[in-house]
Amino acid sequence: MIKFDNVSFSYGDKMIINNLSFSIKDGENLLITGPSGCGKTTVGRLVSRLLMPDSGRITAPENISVVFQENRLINNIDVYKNITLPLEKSQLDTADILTQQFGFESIKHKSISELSGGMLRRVAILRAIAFGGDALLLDEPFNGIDSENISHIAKIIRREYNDRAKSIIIISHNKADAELFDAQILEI
Amino acid sequence: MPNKHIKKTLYVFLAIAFWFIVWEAASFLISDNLKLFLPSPIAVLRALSRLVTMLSFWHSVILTLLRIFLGFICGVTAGIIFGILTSSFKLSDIIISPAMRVIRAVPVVSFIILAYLFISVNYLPVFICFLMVMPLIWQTVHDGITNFDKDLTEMAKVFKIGGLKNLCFIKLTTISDEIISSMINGIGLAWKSGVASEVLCAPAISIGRNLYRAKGNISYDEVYAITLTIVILSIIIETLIKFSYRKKRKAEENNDKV
Repeated sequence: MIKFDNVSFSYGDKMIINNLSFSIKDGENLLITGPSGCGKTTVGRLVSRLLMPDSGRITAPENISVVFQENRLINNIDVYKNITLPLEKSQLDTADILTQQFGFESIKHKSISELSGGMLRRVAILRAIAFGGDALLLDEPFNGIDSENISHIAKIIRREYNDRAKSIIIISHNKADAELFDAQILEI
Repeated sequence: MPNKHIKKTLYVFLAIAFWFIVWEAASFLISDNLKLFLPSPIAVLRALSRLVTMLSFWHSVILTLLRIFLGFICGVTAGIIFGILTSSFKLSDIIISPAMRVIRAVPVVSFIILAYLFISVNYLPVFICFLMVMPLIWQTVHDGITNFDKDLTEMAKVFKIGGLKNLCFIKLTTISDEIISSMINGIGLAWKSGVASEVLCAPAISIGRNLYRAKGNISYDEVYAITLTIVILSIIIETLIKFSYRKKRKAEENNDKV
């Protein structure tokens, strides 16, 4: 379960989140949307404990896998090492299967600097799925990815998370992304 | 691409030719009593061709190379270790960082004179190279880790990548280009300081001793010839480091294309 109870957060004097409340049960999905600068990413950072609220209470799983708005991949190591770096040895088989399903077999030993923007985004998503947290946070996940790949990736994500009763939070300016994940919409 | 390469090589040759002409002209124009101190390039090349046929010359070149290389490797290793320590532990930073800054500020000659009291002349150049290279690498690693990319730090936190994994695969990997760039600067510094310490302390078989002896014998053509050897060796080693780094990068890129 992920729950925000009257959560407020400000950067200095600027109030970003004011008394925000919502909750989703395990296995349910939520799309957070709103205009630029409304604090969507801040909500994500609060969920993943990268920020602490000024007031209010947040309930969320300890292990949350994140696809950041920027890819945050490591340049001098290859694709496969980027994906498997956070993993335990026992998770490597799952990573191999996911790598195949993403169609990355032929590029897994490429260096990150060689990939296109859309490819990099997919590597960042694959890393987050392979990590297998108790919930998944996707911040503008499909930037630069073509529509054909978007539905394929969304299917894999839902199988890996929702089929295991884990929740997904999607932060997106595009409300249509809610359909892909059968998600509730929270407009802030 | 090959045209570009030929053009670049041509420019290098043109630059060398230009400075040889300047040198030749200067040597020709100065008064006869100063000619001894500025021999012509031809005289220097003649002295060099004489030296390269002598086994003892190569013996000294190899031993000097070994001393400098050993000091350089120890300096790089210690610099990386100290850089990791000072950027990771406050106490290490308090204790080690001021010492590193002092080492950087102290003139190399002072170190040579002081170390001469405690260290055998054969190992003194190793120690001096080590002292010159270590703070350079330390600074790069220390700054690289201290000011490390906040986004990647957050990523490591979220994915619970800690300890050695974080250090080796995220931090050191990300700053590896800066470390290699410092190593290239460091090898030049190691040559200068290493040979200077050899000149001052004159280990039995060394380029520095040859240089000192040539100066004592007022064989300035030989002094220039030995200096030229040092410059050439320094350029070769620097080029080898750059080349092996580029080769490694190219191999990675080729792997990617398979």
